[in-house]
Amino acid sequence: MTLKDRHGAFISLTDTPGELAVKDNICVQGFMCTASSKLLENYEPPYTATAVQKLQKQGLTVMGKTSCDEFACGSTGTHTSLANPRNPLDEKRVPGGSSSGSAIAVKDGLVRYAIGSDTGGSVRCPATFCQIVGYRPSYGQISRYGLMDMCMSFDTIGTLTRNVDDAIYLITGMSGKDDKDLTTMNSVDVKETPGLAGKRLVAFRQILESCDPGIREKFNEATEKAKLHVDVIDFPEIHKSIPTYYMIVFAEFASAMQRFDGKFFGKNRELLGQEVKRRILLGTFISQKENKDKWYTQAINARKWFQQKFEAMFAKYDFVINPTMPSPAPLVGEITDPITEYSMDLGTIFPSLMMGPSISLPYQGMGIQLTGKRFSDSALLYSARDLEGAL
Amino acid sequence: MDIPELCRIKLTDEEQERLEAEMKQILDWAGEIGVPEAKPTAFEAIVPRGDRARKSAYDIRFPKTKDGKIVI
Repeated sequence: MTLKDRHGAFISLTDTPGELAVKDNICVQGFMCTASSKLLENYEPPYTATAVQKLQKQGLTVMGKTSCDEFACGSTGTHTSLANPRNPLDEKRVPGGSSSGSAIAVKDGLVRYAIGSDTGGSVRCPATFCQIVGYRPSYGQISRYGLMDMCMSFDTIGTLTRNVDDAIYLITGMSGKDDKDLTTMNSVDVKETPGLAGKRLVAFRQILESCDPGIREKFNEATEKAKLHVDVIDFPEIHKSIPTYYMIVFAEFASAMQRFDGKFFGKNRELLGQEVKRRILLGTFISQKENKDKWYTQAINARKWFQQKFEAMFAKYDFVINPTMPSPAPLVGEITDPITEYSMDLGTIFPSLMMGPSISLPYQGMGIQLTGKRFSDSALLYSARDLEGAL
Repeated sequence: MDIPELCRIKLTDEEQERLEAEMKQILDWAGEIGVPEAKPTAFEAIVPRGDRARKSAYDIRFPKTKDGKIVI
């Protein structure tokens, strides 16, 4: 088995050894950038993403581009015809998505560091299923220049590593203002801060109840083991976060895909996979004048409502804690309908709506997720390092 | 123009039938999102929705000094 074929981690590889794997929707000069889509099979970008440039300046070498769900659309990691990603822990199971290849490459020890994109859980979900650390930074912490848009108001570049220290190393290297991405901020340097001691934690009853009993049991065991005091509160509206998120994603994704207008790329849209087609069609439908108010406008209001709700909650608590995914990794082919797949994201979507940082730590086959308010990245990373040590 | 044509996506009959059924299912599932109305932001509270673009464009073209005089 060649390195490229190993659990379907890579779309393209160099011959020279390197420490960094990059998801195939992030541009790196000298590598194809296909977003795991046949539509872009021959696309070689003429520039490198700012985040990758910063890591290269830090001395890291890009070893290859990793497979993902096509255009980052999916939670299983298997929505692509360019690779065959499988979970390194159990090849009958999915690796999780959309940053599947990046998680596999780190878990298999092919690279020490990997980066991916996280829109609604695309780093934290595969990190959980492959049992590594996945970090989604605050929106605006890391430049998205050179990342192919999936949903530009949620997209972030995140990390997949074996431990929190490696995540801190990557996030420190990539953070900061970039004139090419106006959403990035100046004062976001990651600095060592006091850790988990004295931090106030909260969990949402409705997310805990949506998990498999085995996952809930392990979550309780982990919080006891780490001696955490967690307030469990009711948040019945949290279930509405899924359609809120997806309606915005569909609309923005359909808009982003218009650039593939057939002039250079996008002539054969029949080559697109089912999930991508579905999102383009749905996004176009709900963006039409006559349909907009029923879904899209409501979702925009709901996002604002969620943000206000979380802002009030973070006056009382430092972090939200919950199981990252509600169940173990599904078997390949087990999930056949989109709503079941979207519903898996309940635990990972709310950090995206509130634009905050979120980290998933591996614990006995499941993921423990900590989420903080926007730009609390330093506090969250150093608290997660403490929690990692306690688990 | 129908949606697939608008998106320049050609579908087989079988594909169209399946995608239409799935899309209907997803839109029904999303249904009425139904969370309360969010509070207006400070900007939205000052400038009514319909006036927002006009006001900001006007303010850029005709900036005012502190005493309210328009600078030409």
